[in-house]
Amino acid sequence: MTGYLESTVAQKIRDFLDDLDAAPPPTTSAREIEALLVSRVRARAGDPETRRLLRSLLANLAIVDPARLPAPACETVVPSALADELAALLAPPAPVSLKSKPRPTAALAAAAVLICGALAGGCQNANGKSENSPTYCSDNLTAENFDHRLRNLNKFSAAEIEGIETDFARKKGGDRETTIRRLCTLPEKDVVQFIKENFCTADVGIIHFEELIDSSADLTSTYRIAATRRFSHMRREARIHTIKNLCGKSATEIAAYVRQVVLGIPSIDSDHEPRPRHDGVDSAMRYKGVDF
Amino acid sequence: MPPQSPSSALDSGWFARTIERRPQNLMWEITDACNLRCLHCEAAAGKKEHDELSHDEAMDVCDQIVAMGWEQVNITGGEPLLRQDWAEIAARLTAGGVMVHLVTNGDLFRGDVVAQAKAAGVRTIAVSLDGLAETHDAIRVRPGGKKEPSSFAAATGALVAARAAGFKTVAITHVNRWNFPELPAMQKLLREREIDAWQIQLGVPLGRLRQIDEPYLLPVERLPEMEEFAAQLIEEHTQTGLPPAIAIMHSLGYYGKNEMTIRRGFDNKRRFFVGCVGGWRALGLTSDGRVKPCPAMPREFLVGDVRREPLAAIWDDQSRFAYQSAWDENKLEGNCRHCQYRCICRAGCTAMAYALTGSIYNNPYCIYGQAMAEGRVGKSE
Repeated sequence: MTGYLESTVAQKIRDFLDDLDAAPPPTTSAREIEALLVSRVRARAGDPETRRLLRSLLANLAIVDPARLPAPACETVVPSALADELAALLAPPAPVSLKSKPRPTAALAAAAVLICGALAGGCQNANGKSENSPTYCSDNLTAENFDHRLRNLNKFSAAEIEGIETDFARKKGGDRETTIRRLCTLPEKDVVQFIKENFCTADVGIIHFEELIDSSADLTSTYRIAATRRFSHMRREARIHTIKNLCGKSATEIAAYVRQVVLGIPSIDSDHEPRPRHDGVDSAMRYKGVDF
Repeated sequence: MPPQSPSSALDSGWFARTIERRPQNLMWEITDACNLRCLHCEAAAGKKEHDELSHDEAMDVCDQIVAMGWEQVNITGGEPLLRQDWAEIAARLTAGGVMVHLVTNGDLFRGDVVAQAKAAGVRTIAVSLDGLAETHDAIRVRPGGKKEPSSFAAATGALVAARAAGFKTVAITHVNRWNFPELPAMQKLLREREIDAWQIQLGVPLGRLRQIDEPYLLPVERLPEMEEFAAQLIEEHTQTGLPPAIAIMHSLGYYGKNEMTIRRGFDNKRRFFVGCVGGWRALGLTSDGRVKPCPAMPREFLVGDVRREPLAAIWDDQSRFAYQSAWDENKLEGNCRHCQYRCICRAGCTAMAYALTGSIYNNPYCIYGQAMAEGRVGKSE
């Protein structure tokens, strides 16, 4: 007898982690369990036993039958999204990301301006100077030139460009000029990377998101894991929006945004109290003659 | 503990600050052996646990229970009457001033056993009754699927025998799809037999209940109907004094329009649901001496072992009951996350929430949650 009742994703993950001798305590929420799973698999993706069990879990997630759950609201995890993420973790390891290295902003700035005109085809007639002049790009230290080059890359969406331009406008004058000069020295293939490393809103990758929220000591590691998990499932536009709201913010602001918007945890003000709904209950909550 | 003002109380710590912690109700599964194989048995009881507490160990535990000042002990199983020294256990506890209730399937409660229970000072005989004859027998099956003798006849016979012997009598019903339509007839039956009280609860999908191969749990959308029925019975009992009195257990709720009515309990006091009291007012003790906040909770919730340390040391270490002491409203999920009663209810029955979802922070078996999901009541942010 297999039983009529279907297990939730959280229950299946608990079984999986139990098989790995990594059972989370019963006080772990479904969100935390999901984050634990991803982190566990990420850490042990090369382990054959983990991979074997994970394949089994993936197969198990694929046969979820919501109609056999005790109630529809039992499930708070989206099995398909989780399965996609796990499948990605099972894939062969990607090349080491440059993003995992320290951001070389100072070094890049110091090394600026050796070669001009590297943005092939980028020097257009903007102000009457010859665009083919080798020094045109680095001589034109205006926001318009920056904007022009950014758009000509065709690597960023309108929303991203808007964010990058906002970042650019926030920079001090000297920094803006250094940035443009640097842009002009780089081969095209490196420009996108440069922009991502120097403009907070330009990078909507998971690692960047982790870096941003890591700066907030107000967030527990559990929330960070859960938030990263949520972020990883966001569509590109939502990621851009999220990153924009984190860039340049204080640790407290980041923590509040992550908790309330990314994780969707309602903020509780200290004066919160239940609104009247049922005769008796609400007055009873004021402890008049209630015997606990 | 004096009550807090509501405005400052409704946060993650409301329960711990407001509800006094005391050793009130200990549920002791003195054996895993059972002469029935009930379909919904959460403990999947049947065979005797090979490492059950010895007689001497059980007597020592009794003394510890008395010394700690537990108000009442529910002796249960398995089928507790299959343990040879059940009456000695009961007598040791009652001699120490503990109120003892015996929870049985009724199969063996006859003849000398009735007299033994009386001599041991047992106050209540609680018998499981899960439907009218056909339904009860289909649920409370005998090993090998034997139909005879009828477990329903044994259960009702035990209740009648207990009543005749002067015990307080309680019928315990796990409401499910099969017996839900029979509840009015069951109430009539209990009234005819003058059974004192009827304890109504939902089965927690663990153990054998998890293995039933067809729909069994009461559908969540029937909960308001169940609550309404229970409230009617309670009002009727309050007005007429006719048996049975009704007690609705913590697995059923929450915060429907009759919340204050269904929580009155056998003592008819004003109450509302304040969440799981496991590890706070209640404790579960397994046949081999392990301790859980509530017997309905699975092994993941184990907090100690009386073979290794005194029961009082386990109870006094509140850090072991993390799901109470470190409960965090920010972890709530599903409908519970948006519920205005979230910091009081705390996702209802913890065992139920965990068994249903794998998380103690989401309990979809909820009247109010269902109403929120359907937009009949608002969400709280």
